[in-house]
Amino acid sequence: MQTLKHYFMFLQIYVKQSKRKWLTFPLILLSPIIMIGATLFLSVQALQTEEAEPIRIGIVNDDQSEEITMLIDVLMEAQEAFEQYVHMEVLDETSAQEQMDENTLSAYVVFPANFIEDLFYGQEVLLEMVGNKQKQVESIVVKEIVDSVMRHINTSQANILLINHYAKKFIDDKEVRNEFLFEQFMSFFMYALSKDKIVSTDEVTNIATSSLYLYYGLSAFFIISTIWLWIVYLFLYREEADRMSVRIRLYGVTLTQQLLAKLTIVLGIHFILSFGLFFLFKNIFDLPLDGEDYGRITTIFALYSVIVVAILAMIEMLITSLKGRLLLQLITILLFLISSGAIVPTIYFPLYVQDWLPYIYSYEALFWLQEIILNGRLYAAYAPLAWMAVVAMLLMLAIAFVKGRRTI
Amino acid sequence: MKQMLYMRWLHMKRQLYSILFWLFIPFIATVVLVQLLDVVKDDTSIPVGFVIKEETPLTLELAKKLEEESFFTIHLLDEKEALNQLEKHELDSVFIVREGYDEKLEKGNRHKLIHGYESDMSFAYVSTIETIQSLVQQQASRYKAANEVAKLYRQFDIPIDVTEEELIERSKEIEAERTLLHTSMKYRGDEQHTSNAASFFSPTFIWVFISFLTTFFLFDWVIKEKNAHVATRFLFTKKSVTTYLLEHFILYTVGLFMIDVIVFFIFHFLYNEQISWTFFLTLFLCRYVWNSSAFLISMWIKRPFIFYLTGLSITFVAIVTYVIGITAQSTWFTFLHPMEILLQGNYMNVWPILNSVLLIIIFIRKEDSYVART
Amino acid sequence: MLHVHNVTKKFGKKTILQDVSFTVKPGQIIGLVGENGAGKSTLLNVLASIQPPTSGEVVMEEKLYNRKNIKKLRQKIGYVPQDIAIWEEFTVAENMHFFEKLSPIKRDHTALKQLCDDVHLNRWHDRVSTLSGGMKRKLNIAISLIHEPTYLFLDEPTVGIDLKSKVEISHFLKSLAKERGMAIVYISHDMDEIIQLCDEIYHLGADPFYKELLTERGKIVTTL
Repeated sequence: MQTLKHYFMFLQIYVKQSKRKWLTFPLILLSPIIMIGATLFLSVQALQTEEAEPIRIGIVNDDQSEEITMLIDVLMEAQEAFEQYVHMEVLDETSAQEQMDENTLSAYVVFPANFIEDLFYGQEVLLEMVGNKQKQVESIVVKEIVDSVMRHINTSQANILLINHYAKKFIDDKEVRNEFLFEQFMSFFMYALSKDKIVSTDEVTNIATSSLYLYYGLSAFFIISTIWLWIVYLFLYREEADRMSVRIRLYGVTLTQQLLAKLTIVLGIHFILSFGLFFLFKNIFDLPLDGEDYGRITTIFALYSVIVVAILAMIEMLITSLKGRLLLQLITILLFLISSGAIVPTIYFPLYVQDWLPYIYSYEALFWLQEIILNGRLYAAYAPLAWMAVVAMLLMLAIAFVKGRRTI
Repeated sequence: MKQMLYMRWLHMKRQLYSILFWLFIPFIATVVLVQLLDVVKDDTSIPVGFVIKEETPLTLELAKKLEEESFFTIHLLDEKEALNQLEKHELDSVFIVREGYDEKLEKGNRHKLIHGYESDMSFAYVSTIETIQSLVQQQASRYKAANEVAKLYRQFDIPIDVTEEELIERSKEIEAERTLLHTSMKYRGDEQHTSNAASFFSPTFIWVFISFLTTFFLFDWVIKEKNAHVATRFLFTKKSVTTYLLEHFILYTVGLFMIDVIVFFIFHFLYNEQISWTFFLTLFLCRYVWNSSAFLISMWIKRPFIFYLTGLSITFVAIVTYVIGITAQSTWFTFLHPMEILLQGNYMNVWPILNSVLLIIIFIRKEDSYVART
Repeated sequence: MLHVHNVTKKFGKKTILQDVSFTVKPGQIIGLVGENGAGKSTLLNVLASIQPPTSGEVVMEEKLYNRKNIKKLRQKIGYVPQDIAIWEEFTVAENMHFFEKLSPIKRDHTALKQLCDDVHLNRWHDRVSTLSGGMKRKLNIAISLIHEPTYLFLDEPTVGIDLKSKVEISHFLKSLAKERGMAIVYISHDMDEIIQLCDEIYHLGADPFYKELLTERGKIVTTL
């Protein structure tokens, strides 16, 4: 009975405290929304501008043989197919460097002297690419294109050598044979460049209930509400609490009671906020959810929140340094958000990481939220999350108990 | 100078371990993160559904080759299951190898051999297609070569004494033995070649943001010392609190810069990060901006906790705006974003100027010290 | 000589000091008494130039407290704040040396140690956080004397100091006034101390309790 009384007394203290700060509170809570909104808005804009301007690549030709000129001509013609992405131009090295300094060129490729000759006589050739430091992302794209072209040249080269092997049997005149081989080389190269016919493409839209926006919307909701939980938690932090807690404990109030009161308030405030956010989310996407769905979502979300809060509290109790505590909480929150798949879908993770994901509460929580909301599942497995919540709470209480005994 | 060092040492020696920790955490964290990202980057895989309508030597070879490409994880599935998983975004894309793949390829007909499905959430469809096409192309051009050889025989009316299979094996051998063409890449202005086409998350990139955050964690001394009751005493000494704080701010800047220089020498040896006189100049400018920002903000804030949170929020904003800014590429961005100083070597940045002005204002204002204090 | 002319101090609409005037002569020890909130600390802060008066003026050795003069004048002021203004995590020695570095007058190690002995503080190498409240108060006074001020303003400096030390500090302050001609203004709630130490006693505030108490014991108390 006494325990409950203490618990409620602290509940009141924390309620009062959060009331006092209510003015600055909405601003802090809006910050993650604004951040994520701005990110989405600006990245969409950035992607659009990227489409408008093709990447400019310079081609510097130090070889000047007839063959390389022809090869470059072929390249220039072939670029028409992807003109909206890439624009190639033959330049000399000085003007290429000048344009790069003016930041109008993303990269340039140098065909070295005797390029074709060396290649024909089976000598190794190094093709050098120079990237623009101010356009690193584009430079990497160019490098990939160059690599892909090189792969084709290498394959063509191998086949030419094969043909050459047999051609020697039939054509004795070296000059004639060389000419024949170059024709073959060009034919192979062009054959390679026209490979885009191989795959035909279709787009699959995801299942009726789920759209791209809904998927990202749910991820955004998950990220925002997790960050909110941390903010609310930090919001109720009191620097004087340490000094006060000695006095409070003299009245027979345990650390555990104070802690539980705080967590109840944190979870309460957070639950109201998240509910509002979810309501908004539901209305934006016009989700057809019924009462049972709400029950499932609430259960999963509540279990998830309990675990997050328990972990935050454990870090607070274990680490006395304020900065260390903040850093560790930040790292933990980030790690769990990443492993939930809310930032990058988990299917792209390394396989050995994917094997461990089911044991991570954030993954488990987001997975079931996605199943219910995106895939219309009428079922959720609560057991794993519930067990994790129990373990987290017990661990937290154990630490609080030990710490409470040690300090008094 | 000696006196300043002595006074600073008195403050530092009680929390030496903590200070050392925060001084070196950017370096340690960078090394750990670079290592981690390296591993993750190599092991990241794109899940691709592969549907083979008719199992033939060539289709299986294609699947095997694709699996060998480190970027992909191939799931061999039937069409229905594959598309179902794609819809649920359990796969990035699905490729269906049509019937008659081998026959068509042997005849030199490459048209629509494979049908690809992407979803509206596919991240890597284009590069997957590129890889598949070049693999198919490899197979196709071998048949083309074999055909050309056969053509030669026909042209000179000699009966063929070699089978198609033999020719194809020979072609594979040649390619494996003699890959003649290699590419290399470097950035303009750099001496050395970049080993792997520079990743977005370079060590400098990671270091910059972590050291930004820890600068705030290191500058809580300002709050502790300006808020202490002791601050009143400075009225009766030869130095005002502001002068004292500014002097020690300079001390911190020089000290931290020296550590930064050491760190970048290590980075140079570890990761081949470029160092030069101009680079160290930008590094100093960057250190100055970090410290002056932390210092100026600490002058406004009373509680360390709020100060740390502010530092955390600013770092968060800095990272997000940087990633956005890099993709948006506006000239305003290079002028406005503090990280641009070091990451892109842009001197023309608003923060050194703005912070200097604010520091001067603070320094001048302390001369008006005989004004109401409550 | 320190002259206080018609000093009024207001915080917002609230008037704390109203037309206060008096003079502090070299070698004189003045006690300020009055109930909590009567404005003793505010007056002391005005004297120590920590807060400027709302109206009226303070003149030290023919120099007015203003922006131009204040830096020079402050070097003559020793101020012992009510809140203990020392670095908690330093040792006694480190505190003394730290403030010596900031002092306009250089003092060597022996002189600093002597200062601590003068206030009967002998825990030279102990960290402040391990000292008792009384010890801290002693250090609080010692630091204020490093730059050899000619005027010393003390705001309840002996709270929490044991009786023996109190007497010792009183003697020390008295010797400062007599031997070095230091002018001292002193706030205290300890009437024995006030009676024993002060040449003149000023009373602030509406409540006549202290005044009556001191008058009963044969002291002349002036109301400001």
